[in-house]
Amino acid sequence: MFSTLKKPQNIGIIAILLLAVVMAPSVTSYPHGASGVQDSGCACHGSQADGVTPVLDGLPNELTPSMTYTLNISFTGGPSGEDPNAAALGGFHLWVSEGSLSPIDGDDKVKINPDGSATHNGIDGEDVGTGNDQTSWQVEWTAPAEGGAKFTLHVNSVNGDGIASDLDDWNRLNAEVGPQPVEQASGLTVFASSILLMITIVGGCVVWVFYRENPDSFSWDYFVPWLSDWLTTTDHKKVGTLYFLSGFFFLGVGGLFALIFRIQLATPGNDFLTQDEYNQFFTMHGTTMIFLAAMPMIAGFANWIVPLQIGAHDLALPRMNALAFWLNPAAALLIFTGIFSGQGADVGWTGYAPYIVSHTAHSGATLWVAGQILLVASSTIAGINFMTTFCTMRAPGMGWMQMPLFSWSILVATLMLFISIPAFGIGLIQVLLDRTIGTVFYEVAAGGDPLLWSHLFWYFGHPEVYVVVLPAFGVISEVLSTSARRTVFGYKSMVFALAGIGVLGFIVYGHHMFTSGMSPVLRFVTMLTTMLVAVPTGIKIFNWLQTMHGGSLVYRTHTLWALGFLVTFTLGGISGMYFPAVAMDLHLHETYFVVAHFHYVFVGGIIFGLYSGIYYWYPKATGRMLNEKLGVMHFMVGFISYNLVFWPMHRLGIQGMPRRQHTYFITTDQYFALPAEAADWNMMITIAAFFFAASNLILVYNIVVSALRGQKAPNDPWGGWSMEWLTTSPPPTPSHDPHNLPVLQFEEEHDDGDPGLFGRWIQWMMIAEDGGEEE
Amino acid sequence: MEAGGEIFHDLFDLWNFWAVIVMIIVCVWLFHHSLRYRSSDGKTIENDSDHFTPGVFPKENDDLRMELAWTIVPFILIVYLTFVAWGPLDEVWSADENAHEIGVTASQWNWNFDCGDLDADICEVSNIDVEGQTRPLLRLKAGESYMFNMTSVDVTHAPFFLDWGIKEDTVPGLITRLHYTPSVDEIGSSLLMCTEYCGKDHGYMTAVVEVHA
Amino acid sequence: MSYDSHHGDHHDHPSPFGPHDWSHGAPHNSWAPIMMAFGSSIFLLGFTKVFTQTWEGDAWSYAINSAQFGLLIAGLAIFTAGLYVFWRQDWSFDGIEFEPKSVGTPFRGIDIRKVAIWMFLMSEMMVFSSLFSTYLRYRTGIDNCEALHAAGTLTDGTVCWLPASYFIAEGGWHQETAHAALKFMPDTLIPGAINTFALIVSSYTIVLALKTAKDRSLSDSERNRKVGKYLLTTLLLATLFLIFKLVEWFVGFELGDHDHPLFYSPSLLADGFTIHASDYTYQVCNEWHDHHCAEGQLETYTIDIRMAASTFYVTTGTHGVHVFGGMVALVYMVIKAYRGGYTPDNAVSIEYFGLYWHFVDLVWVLVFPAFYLY
Repeated sequence: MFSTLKKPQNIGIIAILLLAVVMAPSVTSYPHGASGVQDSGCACHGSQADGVTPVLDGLPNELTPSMTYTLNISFTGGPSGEDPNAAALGGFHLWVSEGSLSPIDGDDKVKINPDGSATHNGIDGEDVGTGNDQTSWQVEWTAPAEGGAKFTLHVNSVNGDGIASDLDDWNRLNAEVGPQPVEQASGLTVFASSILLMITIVGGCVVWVFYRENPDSFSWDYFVPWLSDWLTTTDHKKVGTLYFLSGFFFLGVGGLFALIFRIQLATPGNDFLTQDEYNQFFTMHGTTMIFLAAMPMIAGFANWIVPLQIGAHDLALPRMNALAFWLNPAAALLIFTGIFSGQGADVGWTGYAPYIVSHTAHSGATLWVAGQILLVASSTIAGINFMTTFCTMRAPGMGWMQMPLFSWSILVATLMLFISIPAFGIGLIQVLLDRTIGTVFYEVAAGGDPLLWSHLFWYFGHPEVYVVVLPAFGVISEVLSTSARRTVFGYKSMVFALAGIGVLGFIVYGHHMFTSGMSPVLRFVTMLTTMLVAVPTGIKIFNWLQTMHGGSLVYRTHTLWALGFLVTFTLGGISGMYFPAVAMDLHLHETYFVVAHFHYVFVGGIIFGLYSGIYYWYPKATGRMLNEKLGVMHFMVGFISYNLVFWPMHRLGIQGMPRRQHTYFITTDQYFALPAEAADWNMMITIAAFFFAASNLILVYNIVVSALRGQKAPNDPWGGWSMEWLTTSPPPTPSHDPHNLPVLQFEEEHDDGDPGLFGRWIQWMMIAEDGGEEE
Repeated sequence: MEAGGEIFHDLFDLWNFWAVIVMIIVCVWLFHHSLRYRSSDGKTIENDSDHFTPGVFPKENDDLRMELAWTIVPFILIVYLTFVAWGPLDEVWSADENAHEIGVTASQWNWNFDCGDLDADICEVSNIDVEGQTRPLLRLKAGESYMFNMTSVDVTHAPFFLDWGIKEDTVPGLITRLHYTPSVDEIGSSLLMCTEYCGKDHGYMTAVVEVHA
Repeated sequence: MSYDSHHGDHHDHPSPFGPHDWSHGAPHNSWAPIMMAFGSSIFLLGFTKVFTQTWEGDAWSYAINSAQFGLLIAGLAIFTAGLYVFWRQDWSFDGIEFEPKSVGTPFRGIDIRKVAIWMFLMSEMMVFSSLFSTYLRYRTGIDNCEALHAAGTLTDGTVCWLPASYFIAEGGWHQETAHAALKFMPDTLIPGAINTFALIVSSYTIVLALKTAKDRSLSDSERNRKVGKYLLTTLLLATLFLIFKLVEWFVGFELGDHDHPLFYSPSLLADGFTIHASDYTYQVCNEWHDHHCAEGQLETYTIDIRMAASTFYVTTGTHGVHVFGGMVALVYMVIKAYRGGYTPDNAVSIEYFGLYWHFVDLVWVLVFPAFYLY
């Protein structure tokens, strides 16, 4: 079983991993976040020691509500007192869940922190009081009006050398008094247990998939090699599968967040989630869905299909490809670490400065930023890889204007992504440094400009929107053309529309900042350019519609999703046209109208497009057909419930319901706010959201069951023309024979082989005079 | 009362009109083509007009006149809509020199209005209870022109004047301005909310704006 | 061909730890990606735990949490191990049997690696563009301290911009003493000037390395030795660059006795140019007298110059990290060169590294005037 252990390198790796585990004492989550500061009550004292005994006296056996008690805090043991001339003896930090702490009048040895906890005075060399020269302190606690309270006490026993170091010891004491409330399931607990459940299921699935691959000669001996083969693979199809699975997993996680805060919003004034939890959950919902679900799923499709489609045997840089993938789960770890300590990022997916660098933002935001930096690295590496692949590995005969439209869409998306994402990366690095070593890029007191972050973010953020939607365009082009048995109408104008969106995408981002205090001139310019985006998008929609003309439409599940996409994406596109009109945006900005718009684009556009892609390419990837009946059921339930979720949000937005808010206010006698019907709409949205979530389980079931018992798929089940259908289902490795690449043929007369003016220029630029690099 | 000001509703109605027209065109086209050009049983290929073969680039299917038509016609519509949207910009960004200046200072998580030397009839600040919390109440007079000079002491916020349909960020270190003249139609109280995410109590960072005759 | 990967047939696989048999094509399995990914993740986790800041009610306090260094080091160790695996697989790469070439127009016949490195440089360009945008935004948006002083509006607590060139090119407070000691050049500019020279020369030596590697008239052993020597020179120049940079930031030079220094160049840190300089002591002397400020002619202000410092350190630091990355690659290349890894048929790796190295050089040519001179 452990045959891999025989090699010395493997042992080395395992040793390094073990070392990492041993050296990572701080990975455990603390009550107040991952920064480690509250760990010992003071940032300075290193080791927890049993020798130190904290004592908390003065708590009554029977609690009288609202009464004030004097608490005696002391400790024994530890290095304290070894040196009679010591500069300091000890310290404490006391947190209480209910009621309030206050120092005894005239006592300057104790102070109350901004978060309500109590600690000794004299931290960091302050000369106030002599709180650090004590081994016992007193503090007053006023009991809450009802219920009990929980105490957490940290004490430090200091050796008095004046240096905060590992030589000092600390210890913790937990105490409680009065009636403890029955533990209610908090949103966080629900979320954490669901994640644990999902991880268990995923783990089980991995083992089960291993078993299913070869049930007849099943042996645990092959498990480690099999698993390590997946962990080390650089094959574009396997990496694509990993991308897809991780994207799909996080689609579930992001959906879970959405369901949980939809429960919160079902009725006005609800308290299912605390504000802190709500803020973390919508932040994580956005971050997860865009960066950890949509992007990896798109990368999964691109990985799988692009090399097959352009007739390459793999991507240009296979190991880089694997690196780009593995950065995703590595980043996800960082992004989610905060959540489990109750201090997850609460900054919105846009992470606007200066809130993100302010002390009111949760400590988890630091790790959120760190994780995003890794995702930026991942996208850059993937971008380099795909651009290189497109430039160099198209099969003989395939010029730029003969590339299938899905490949074109990935090309434009990749180019946009990797030109725009460094700006975001630099912004993130600035924020990370602001939050750790104390640079001041966004510190307003030092001259920092909050709008600089908005510019860097949206310079990336708006192209990013197209980056995720363009691949869906590509899928729809392929699916509609194949289903209608017609060449996609106006191939060239489709390509130019893609490129047009790619160019325009960079000069429109100001429409996110119409109310931000940006210069009116810039607002006006971006108003004009944003309006223009409608033109290339319109060309694509009309071309898709015209593609069906004269065809012979075959209704498969992927066709249904593609037709559904046409409806929902057109709606999303049209609602987008309301924002560039500045006078209208002043009302609609940051309301649910915006939420409705971008969910119509993201879900109705991207997710529907990707679903269409799943049904379309699943037979190619697995060699099995998906169940059509389940597919149609998925479409019907999904499409209807999806519209029920997001259509009413337009109305809520016009009525003025702001997004990202923990609750909403209904009109009362005293003031005008949302009409009473808003509460009903919200309840309906929440119910429909559960149906929409459930519809996705049908897809999961279909994928799993079809992988086992689906009908065997032929090489070209739908009758498509592009090169992926040349290969077997599932395709061999390498995907096309590198020594005998397929050559693109043409239905009509075609002049191929002329590189064109631009191509000749590139050749002249890139190939040395002596011809040293020619074949 | 209705959320959103007059300018918003004028534009919104016009946009809705064109949105419905575009949507009707797309939907009629979509349903017609997807039914008219379906294969007889919806499953099998009966009229494979373009003869797809794997690895063979299919024959062209385009019509330059049609493609130009749906480039130019939407472009004209866009130019028209842009022109219409351009008009109210003066209204939105105007700076009336005689406007009453009101200071707005946002902080986590409260609004602070400063009427300066203005008469109590024109501008007055007091308190009001919003769902159990004491919140500022700003009383203004209909027909008067107001200029809000806004800033923030900590992070970015944005007051959303629900009834008037306007908002603008309050940015620390920067003074942003918002001009409005409430009309007699807008007499009454409406809620002011924060529409730039600002932390824990963002959702409860409210105030009430009352316009009286 | 051993492309086929089948469950149960693991023994013929190229090792995921390398070295790799390149005649079978690109490596099929590699531990490098997963190790590098999680290594960098752990490194960043450690970074946020080592460098912490706490809100003290009205200001941040900064701490270096040395107890957490382990995490940082563990992350780096895993990343480096991953990089080692990556290189180990590349070790045997001879560029003859497996150098993938472009098949499609317009790059037909060009090495895929060459296209990739140009793509990489494209995104690098955006990285430095973003840093320069930040610089321009704040440079033009924040008033210059000296201009404010000239206009008579400088007061204690003013947030203003004191460019690094004030400390470097003009010598800052030490201006007059420095000029007396070394008339021809402002004091702290010396490390920067040497660095500029070093980088430009290193761009030349890397070209020489490529030229030598392609030279068929040399014997193998002689070529290996010469290529290695040129690469080693490049590496040493890069090391010189980083050492001088650290000296300029943290150490400083001083020659001669303190009151009448022959050559005196305090570090930027000693001059008070730090990212936490919210109360920098800005001194202006209206009249000098024998290297000392005349009685009553000294004006002292406490000003906030954190933004200038943040921009300076992060931009030049990012450039420094790029130089360091180049050094890491050079170490690998030097070893490979002495082991005979570069032949006339397999010299292009030097060229592709050279493209990156020229880029880093070019960025410095922009950074230097923007941050050191102006």
